[in-house]
Amino acid sequence: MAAESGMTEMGDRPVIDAELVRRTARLARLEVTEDEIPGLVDHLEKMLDLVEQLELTESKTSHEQLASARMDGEKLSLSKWREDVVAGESDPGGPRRPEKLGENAPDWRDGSFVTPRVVGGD
Amino acid sequence: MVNDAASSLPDPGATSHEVLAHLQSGKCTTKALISEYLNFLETTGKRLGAVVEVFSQSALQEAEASDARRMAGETLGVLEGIPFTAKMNICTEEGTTDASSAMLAGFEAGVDATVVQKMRSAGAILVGKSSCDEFAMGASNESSAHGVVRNPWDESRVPGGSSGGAAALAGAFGWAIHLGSDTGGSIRQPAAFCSATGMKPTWGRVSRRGLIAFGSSLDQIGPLARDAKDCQIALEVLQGSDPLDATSLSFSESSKEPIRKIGWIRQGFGEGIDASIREQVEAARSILEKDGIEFVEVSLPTMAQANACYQVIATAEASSNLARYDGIHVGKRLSSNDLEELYSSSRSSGFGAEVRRRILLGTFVLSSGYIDAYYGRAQSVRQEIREEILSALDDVDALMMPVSPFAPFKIGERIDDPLALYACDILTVTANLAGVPAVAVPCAFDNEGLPVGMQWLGKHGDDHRLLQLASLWQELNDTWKSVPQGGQS
Repeated sequence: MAAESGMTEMGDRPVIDAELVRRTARLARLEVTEDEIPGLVDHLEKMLDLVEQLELTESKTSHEQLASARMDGEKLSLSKWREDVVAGESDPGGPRRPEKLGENAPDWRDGSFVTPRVVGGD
Repeated sequence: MVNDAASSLPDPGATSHEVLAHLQSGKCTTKALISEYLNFLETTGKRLGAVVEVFSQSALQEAEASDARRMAGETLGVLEGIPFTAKMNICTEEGTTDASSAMLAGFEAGVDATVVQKMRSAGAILVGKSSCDEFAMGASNESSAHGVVRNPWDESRVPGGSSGGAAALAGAFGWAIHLGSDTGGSIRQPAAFCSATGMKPTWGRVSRRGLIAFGSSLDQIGPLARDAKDCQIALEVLQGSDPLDATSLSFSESSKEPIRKIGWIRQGFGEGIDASIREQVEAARSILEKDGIEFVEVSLPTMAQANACYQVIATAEASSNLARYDGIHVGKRLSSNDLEELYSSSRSSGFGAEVRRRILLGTFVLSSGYIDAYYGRAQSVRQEIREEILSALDDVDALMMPVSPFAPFKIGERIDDPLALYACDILTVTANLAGVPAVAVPCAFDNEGLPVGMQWLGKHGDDHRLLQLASLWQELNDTWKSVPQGGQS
C-alpha cells in the first residue's frame, strides 16, 4: 500500500479512510471527532486527485539535482553567519522586552513554562 | 505654519507620493493627515472588517513629532508622515499579532518586524493592523478569526486573500502603504480583487524577520498601495539583506533598460479563465503594444501542475511551521493532565477548519511511506517549473497574464468548497514556486463594475524594472485612479 515506488511513478494510491485520517491527525497533534472524519476523508481524496497531476517530464529531474539548482543572481551564500553571541537589549533583534516571553505563555511561573507532569506522578 | 483647521487634505484617492508632495508644500500638517486617515480606519476600515487594531494615540503623537521635525528643518525620511499598516501576521511592538487566529489571540510580539522598523525609520507612521485569513491561508479573507472582510467595490463580495484587509484598505482609499505577505498570491490576488497595486518581491529581497511563518520557501513580504510608484518607494525602503534573516539578500536588477519585450503566457488565458478576464487583459496588451512594447507568445506547460505542486509544498511547510503552536510556549492552552492530550486539544481548539485541513494534508505528504511520492515529487516538479520560467525569461524581459481566473465572488459562495477556493491561486503560485518577483496592477473593471487585475513576472532581482513597467501602464491607463463609492470615510 505504501507509495515507496521512487520518483517517476506515483505508486499505488493509498487508501484514504478513517484510520489514515486518525493516524495522520495523531502525527499532526490534532484531535478529530468522529463527525469530522467523513469530511476529512473526502477532502484528502480530492486533494490527492489534484496532487496526482504531478507528472515529471522526460528529464526526470531527480531529488538530488535540487542541490545544484540554478540560482541565477541569487548567489545564496551561507557565509554570512552573524556572530555566535547572545544579543543584548541594545542590539538589533535583542530582547528589548524579555518579560514578553512569559507574558505570552499560557502558564509561566518563576521564569519557566509550566507543563503537565511527564515523569513520575502520584 | 499650517493651521490644522484650515489645512487642505489630499484627495481620497491620492497616492503616497502625492501626499508626500502635499505635506512638503505645507498644504496640510502630518497631524491633520493622520487624524483623517485614522477616521477612515475607524469608519470605513472597520465597516469593511479590513482593520483589526487602530493605533490612534501613538500615531497622532508620531505625527506631531513629524510636524516638529519638518518645522525644525531636520532631515526627513523618504516616507515622512505617510500612514502605513501591517498585516496581522507581521509583528509590531504595539498591539497584538495573532495572524487572525484564535490560537494566537492576544499575542503581543513586543518587537517590530524588520520591515516595520524600516518603515518607521523612513518616517512612515504605523496606524493599524489589517485583517487576513488565518495564518495567511486563504484566498477570500473569510477564515479570519476577526470575521470576514468585505470588498470596497461591492460589499457583498470577498476582497480576496490572504492580505484581504490590506487590499480592501488600499482599494478604498489612498495615502497609505500596506504591508502584506504573499505565499501563493496573497498580495496580488486581493490587490486585483480590490483594484489596488501589489508587489511580491523576489524571494529573499525583503527581510521576513518578524513574519509569522506559513511556507518558508514561498513566503514574501511586500507592499500594497495605490500605484506602482508607491510600491517602488516602499520597496526601496523595505529591501536589503537583514542580519536577522539568513534568507534575505541584496539584489540588483538584471538590466537598467526598461522592459520592452513581454512574454504572453498562453496557459494564463486558457481553460478555466473567465472570458471577461481574458478580454480585459488582451485589451491591456493592445494598449501596451501601441506604446511600442513587443509581445511574444510563450508556453509554460508546467503551469498546469503549479497548483498541485504548491498545495503539497505549502501544506508540508505549514505543518512544520505550525508545529510550534503547542499550547505550552505561546498561544491557546486547554487544561489537561496529559501532555499529549494538552498538545492536541489546544491545537484543535486554537486552529480553524482551513488551517487544520492544511496541517493534515501537509503532515500526510511528509509522513513515512508517502514523502517521496508526494513531497519529493512536488519538489522535483517545482524545479521544473522554475527552470521553465527562467528559460522563458532568457528571451523576454517579463511575462504577463491575469492575476485571478475570475472576478471577486460573493461572500460564502466558495467557503464550503476548499478546492474551489484553491482554484483562485492557479495563476499566482507560479511566481512563488520560482521565487521570481511579480507585480499586480488594476487592469479594468468588468461589466458588473468589478475590478480585474493583471500581473507581470520578472527575472530574479528585476523588481524595480517590473514596477517601472507597471508605472508605464498606469500612465497609459487610469483604471487605478478610481475610488469606490462609499469607500471614503
